[in-house]
Amino acid sequence: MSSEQLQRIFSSNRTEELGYDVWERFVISPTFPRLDIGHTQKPRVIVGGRGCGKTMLLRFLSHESAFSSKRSSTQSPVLNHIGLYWRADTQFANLLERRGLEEDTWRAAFGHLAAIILGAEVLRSLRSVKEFSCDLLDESGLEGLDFRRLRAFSDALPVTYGGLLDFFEDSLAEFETWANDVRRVEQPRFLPDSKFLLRLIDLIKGQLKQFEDAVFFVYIDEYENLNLAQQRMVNTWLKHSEPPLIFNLAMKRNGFKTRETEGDEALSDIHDFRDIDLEDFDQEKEFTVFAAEIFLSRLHLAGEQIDAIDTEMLRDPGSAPARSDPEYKRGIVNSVRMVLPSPSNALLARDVFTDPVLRERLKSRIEAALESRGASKDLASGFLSVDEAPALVVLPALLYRKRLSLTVISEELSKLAQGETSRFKDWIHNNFVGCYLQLFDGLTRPCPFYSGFETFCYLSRGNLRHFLELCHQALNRSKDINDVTPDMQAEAARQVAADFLAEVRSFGNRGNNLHTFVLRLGSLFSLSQQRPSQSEPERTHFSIQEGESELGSEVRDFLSEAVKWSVLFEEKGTKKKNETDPEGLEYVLNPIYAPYFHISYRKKRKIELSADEITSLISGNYDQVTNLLKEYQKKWDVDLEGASLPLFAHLDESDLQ
Amino acid sequence: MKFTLQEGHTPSDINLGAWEVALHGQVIDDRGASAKQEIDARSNNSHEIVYQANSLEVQIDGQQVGVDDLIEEISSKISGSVVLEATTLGFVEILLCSKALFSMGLNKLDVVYVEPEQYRRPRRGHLLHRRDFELSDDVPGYRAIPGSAILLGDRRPQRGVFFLGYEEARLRRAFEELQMIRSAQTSLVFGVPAFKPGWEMDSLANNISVVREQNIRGGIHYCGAENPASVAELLSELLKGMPNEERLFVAPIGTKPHGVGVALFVARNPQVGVIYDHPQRISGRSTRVGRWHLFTVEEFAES
Repeated sequence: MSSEQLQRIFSSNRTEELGYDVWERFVISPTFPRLDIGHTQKPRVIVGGRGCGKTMLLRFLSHESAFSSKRSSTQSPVLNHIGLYWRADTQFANLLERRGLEEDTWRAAFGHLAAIILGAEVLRSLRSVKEFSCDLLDESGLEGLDFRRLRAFSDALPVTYGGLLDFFEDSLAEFETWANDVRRVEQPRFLPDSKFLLRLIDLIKGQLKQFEDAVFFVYIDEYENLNLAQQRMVNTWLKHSEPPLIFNLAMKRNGFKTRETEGDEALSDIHDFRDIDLEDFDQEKEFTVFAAEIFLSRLHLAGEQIDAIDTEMLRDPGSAPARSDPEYKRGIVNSVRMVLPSPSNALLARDVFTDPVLRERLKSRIEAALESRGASKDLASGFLSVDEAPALVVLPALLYRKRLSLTVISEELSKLAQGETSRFKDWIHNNFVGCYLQLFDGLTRPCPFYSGFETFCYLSRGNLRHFLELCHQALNRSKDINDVTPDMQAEAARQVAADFLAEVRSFGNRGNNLHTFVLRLGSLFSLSQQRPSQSEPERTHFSIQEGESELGSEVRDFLSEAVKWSVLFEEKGTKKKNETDPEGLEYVLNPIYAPYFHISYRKKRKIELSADEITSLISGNYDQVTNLLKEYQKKWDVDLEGASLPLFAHLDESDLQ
Repeated sequence: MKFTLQEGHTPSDINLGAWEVALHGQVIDDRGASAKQEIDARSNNSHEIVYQANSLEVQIDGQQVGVDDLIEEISSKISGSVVLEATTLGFVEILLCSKALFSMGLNKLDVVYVEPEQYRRPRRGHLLHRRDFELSDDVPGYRAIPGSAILLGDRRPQRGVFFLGYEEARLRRAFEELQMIRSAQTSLVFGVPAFKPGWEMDSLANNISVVREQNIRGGIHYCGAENPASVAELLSELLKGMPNEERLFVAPIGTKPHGVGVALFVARNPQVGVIYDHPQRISGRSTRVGRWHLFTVEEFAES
């Protein structure tokens, strides 16, 4: 494979670029069975962050993929699930309010817009069925349809299939013209949303026997961008969904502005819909395998011979048992590991000693730690003569812990070297990552800790766009698929982190402040990472000391916005230091930003922030935030002198020392 | 439509003339204050126009008016020669005023614009600065402007033209929020030559990441950052070359003179849609007063 081909494999990560028929590119995810397609007729609310594959899934469920000509005839689709995809243009939808017209008029206008867009989709789905199989529907069946009885809604409605489809398309242009100039242009005759669609479907079912049991599932993408009144209308359609027309939603987390409907009853998630979180899978057991399948299927599409997977199987919901076979999983994960190798901690540690810069840094740190406890720095050479690289990497942190005597540390190191039980085993386990990252502080070179297939999976945290971008950037740096080195991968991770961090500014109305917040929070975690003793290593999440109830509504709204955009992940609290502490939530910084802040991507330890502190990070002015950092710097005994991380360059502008 | 462009370091360097009516916006910085003062001194009447994207209303001299009533309101205030003071007017106000003036059949109008001496430009490179850690205002985001709205749809053939400045987040957000925009049918326009040598690099360097991420490949064009005439000319060429079934929309998220060119062009070509993100104009964003521009437009309402 040429390096140019290599660079293209993962470059197209935007579903919109793939068109409507995504059949060939779709890989059924571990969360797919929860949708229960074909078995339940309850509406679904599909939730997930940007880039998790919502649009791809919705397009896979829609008629153009379900009845794709690329689909083999042995995998026959069924008519009890005909998907209709709709993504409302929300910048245009903003026009449909106020402007001197009654709310009722705007509601009817939005309903009309839905009726003509979805009406056209219903008709197009028939063509998809016809093109998939003449046995299901042939041209004469399609052209023979008579929609005369729709004229009860408007005399202008044509009676033929082609005429009606043209009418819907023309109606969109008519609607746009009216919405632009509601004072001077005559209002179109509004069609009554779901009532009209149901009648259209009834007429089809009445004339085409094979559609007798057909159920149309509308999938509304980016529901969170609709305004309050529009969400209320869509909620009403969802609440009253029943065969043959079921409304389903896809949205980011916290996407409901309201659960109210047009009637008295609000939406209730147990009764009215089934909630599916597309990113809710086991990181290690499920996402790693899924990501490996996607990786290999991309290679397959690029023409590589991949024996480990069968791409037909990846699109077949019935293949779940075969895909959960442990041997199959091991095989595909190993195949990807070969392309994206990850050095073990032992190897990383060994490389520290073969690299003059890192070796010198480690030596200096050991000497500084010895001097900090009043011991002679000359002792460093004695420690360094021991052939236990991982132990020596964590040694500076241990030497900074005054409660551990030099004698104990030396004895434990000797035991380790002699193969006896040693406390170093735990010390390495708990401190290696933090200590290893410290060795790279301020260096411009990439840190190989951020390399490896599993690492890419952790950094992505279930987000396919992030995973594919990491792969793209890593492969972009190599001319040969069999030579993607850990350094190339680490460099890619750093690049991707910086790129995705820059994207935060475009995350909705509060994007600029979400970006500032990530920089502030990341700085705090980075400061913690530089703690010499590493007594609380790998802190990448926080909780609120007093519990969320003590937070002001503005702070709660901001955190909700951060979760909506997957800047933070909200999780139920796991570890309480005291039984009397309130049960609370934990907020995890999206690990894709970890390489930028030079912190761990693993969720290990948390910082408990007071309500005042989190308020400062979110809405405090610059001085409040630097004061907060200054307090933690003092508390954690961090010396920023010489810290040349870009992250702290601005601190020269303040008095933080 | 014919343009005559003049520029100078001070108002006395250009032949500003006098007007019956001046339409201006809110003053938020030094150059706006200078521009308004100069225009007021040369006009018999002046009116402040401020568009409110959230309520879809316009404030004219402090009075709320529905955006759909703007043409009548402006018509009632116009007699004789007109100048638009584009330093203080935002893009939407310039667009709405241009449409109103076009519908009145006005053939000649002047547009005044004063450059800043210096902008608070984002710096390139990896180092973070104090400014990155400071809070900023919310940005309302892409909301249609009545009269120039276009219904974007996955199945509607459309071509977009983005006039870019140095804030790449504005381009990125368009693709984030309006995913039916097609990368292959999106053209980009950079302000080259820029207001000052070297500024064009900020715009190119900042936007290139979005171009790559979104695989934008509909072509790149260049129009002088201070030249509305070249904008109108470019759009005219693009519109002529488009198939009948394809719709054109523009996103003027770059320099103000580009916005002026877009507004005048769209006023004459109402079939062209506009998408716009309504950024808050930050008080004190620019300091001191730079060069003065007078754009004289003739044959505006003539076909």
